[in-house]
Amino acid sequence: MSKPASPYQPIPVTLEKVSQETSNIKTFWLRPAQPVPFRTGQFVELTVPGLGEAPFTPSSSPAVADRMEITIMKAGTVTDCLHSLKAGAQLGVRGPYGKGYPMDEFYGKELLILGGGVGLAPLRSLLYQIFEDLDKFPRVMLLYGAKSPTDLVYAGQLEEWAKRDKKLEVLVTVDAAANGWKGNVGVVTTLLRKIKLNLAQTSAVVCGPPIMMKFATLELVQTGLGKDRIYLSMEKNMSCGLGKCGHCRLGPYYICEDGPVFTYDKIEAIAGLWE
Amino acid sequence: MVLAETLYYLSESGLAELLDKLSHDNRVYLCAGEELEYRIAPAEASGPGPWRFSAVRAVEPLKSLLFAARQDVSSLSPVPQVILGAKACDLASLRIMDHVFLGGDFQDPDYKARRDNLLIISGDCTDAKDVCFCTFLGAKPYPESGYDLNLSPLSGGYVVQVGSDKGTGLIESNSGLFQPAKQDQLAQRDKNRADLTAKVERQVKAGGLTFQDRLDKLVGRGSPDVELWTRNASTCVECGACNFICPTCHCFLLSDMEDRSGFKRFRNWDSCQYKNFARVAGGANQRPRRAQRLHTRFEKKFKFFPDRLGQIACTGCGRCVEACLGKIDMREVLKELAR
Ligand SMILES: Cc1cc2nc3c(=O)[nH]c(=O)nc-3n(C[C@H](O)[C@H](O)[C@H](O)COP(=O)(O)OP(=O)(O)OC[C@H]3O[C@@H](n4cnc5c(N)ncnc54)[C@H](O)[C@@H]3O)c2cc1C
Ligand code: SF4
Ligand code: SF4
Ligand code: FES
Repeated sequence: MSKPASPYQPIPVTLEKVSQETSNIKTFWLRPAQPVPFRTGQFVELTVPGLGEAPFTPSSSPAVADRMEITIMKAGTVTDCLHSLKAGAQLGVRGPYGKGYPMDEFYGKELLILGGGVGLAPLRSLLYQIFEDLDKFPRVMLLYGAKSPTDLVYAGQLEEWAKRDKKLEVLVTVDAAANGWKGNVGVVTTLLRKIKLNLAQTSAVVCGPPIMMKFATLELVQTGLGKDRIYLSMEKNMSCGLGKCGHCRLGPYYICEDGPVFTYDKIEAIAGLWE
Repeated sequence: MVLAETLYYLSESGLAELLDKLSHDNRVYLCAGEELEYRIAPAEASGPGPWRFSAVRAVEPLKSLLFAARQDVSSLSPVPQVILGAKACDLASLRIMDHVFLGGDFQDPDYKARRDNLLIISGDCTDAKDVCFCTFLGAKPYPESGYDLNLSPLSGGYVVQVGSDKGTGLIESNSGLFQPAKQDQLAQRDKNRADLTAKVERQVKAGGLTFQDRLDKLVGRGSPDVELWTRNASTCVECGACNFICPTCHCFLLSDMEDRSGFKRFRNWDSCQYKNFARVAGGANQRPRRAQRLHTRFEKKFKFFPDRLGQIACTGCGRCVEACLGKIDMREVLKELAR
């Protein structure tokens, strides 16, 4: 099967499996009619036929092109419908779009990864990529926070990763503890106090809700990390994903085309950055 | 090779004959109609020639032939089209549209098919609307590029300038209709052009558009929340007319539906002045206030496109000035910015 003639048209995908992550987040296991190779951090537009589409970053390994996992929070029209679907449903996907994570800039760095809520989805794909070339990283720190213990995505995997390699430090926190929670309590930035950063060697990658990204960024800057070493996944309304529809404009950039990952120095002055 | 400097003379009846021929395999549109309120309409509607095309740009922007208000993205309809009488400001707008829809990593197939199938016979303006301010933006009221043929009206006929290979081809296959232009015809054309340019310049000056400041600097200065934007946006009723009528506004929204024939996807004009244009799930919005949205329209035209493309995305056509229900006047806002 060849690609559709129009870049606005998706290729068919079959929903093979759905797994529940939290009360409002599910992971969708997709099999596209033809492979959709992507680089970590790139995103796709996922179509519910006849209803609409929305942008998502695959949470699976970029080393796998014939399958794709996407972890999705229920948030509105398209995502509500996705959450009602069962294995076997027919969907559509187009992409990948955007530049993704600049792996070349990360190699050799102590990488500090900060995630909040469903923001761990694109970061999981990044982690899979990092696992592919772990020898290129002296140190990887994953700091992840969610509202409560039941809001943690990939809970089982978080434990696995913590034991996986000495280079890999995994710290998890929740805003509000519940019965039986023995771990950290507090917003994700409080975890920064629990690790010792070698600022000169460190780059940070941040993905999560706007408020979390804002405070994490400000705190990292205050700690002394260079603004050009803070990589942010920006999220604004999107329609085309192709740099044409104008929806995702953030100052001089189209997030879909020039991003979605930007270093903070490039965008800090833009009005409405965190809104 | 493009014979860009090749000049001919075409009589009014010669033009009627040419269009008649073209109408066999093209849909021919004219900018014609009532005094200063010209429309882009199918040539059949204008009756038999000879007629003269519009003195100024039409009410509707040229984009309406290339970028439909609502387009099924899966169906291509590349009907060969001819536009007669497009003006310099229309051609300037196509440079923006071409950049958006043909540039970058992806091309819009519908736009491309229509663009490739559009023959542009443009024309010099012979008058100006009171809202025209093209010369303020460094443009001229006569086309300098972007056309296949350009016609400069004289009494009884036109000086024809060739602007593309397509234009050359048209002259070659209709060589009987074109005579070499004479010196006095060229002199008359140049005088008409200079006179009208002076008229627009006088009008621009009388309107107070006299400052030399760089517009990107002006628009980039200060926050979208300053008083100037709030006050000017206070009469905006979010109708979107400024965007829809603007020849360079290209924003759109994809929408899906299902009917008996299956799933459909449409590309629909959208407006950055609508409150929900930038809204995301959960309710966050980069530009919840009208002031921010008015600012974004200026920023897109006077800063974003100059940064990306080196060209302002305003042609000075004045359409938005005429269309705005809130009486927001682009020229007045620019003047205030420069103050
Ligand atoms: C690059 C990128 C990657 C993303 N990755 C993920 C992910 O991995 N997992 C996840 O759960 N969410 C992700 N999102 C957010 C997700 O796109 C929105 O939650 C989703 O668009 C909501 O659509 P809806 O139809 O359910 O909501 P509605 O509020 O009904 O939205 C209607 C339409 O507006 C647009 N829209 C609304 N919210 C957003 C938004 N936040 N960003 C962009 N467009 C929006 C979409 O086109 C959407 O279909 C990502 C967003 C971007 C921009
Ligand atoms: S902004 Fe107004 S004056 Fe400028 S090109 Fe658009 S409609 Fe014409
Ligand atoms: S035309 Fe005027 S009233 Fe309508 S959206 Fe534009 S600025 Fe607002
Ligand atoms: S989503 Fe359309 S331009 Fe970025």
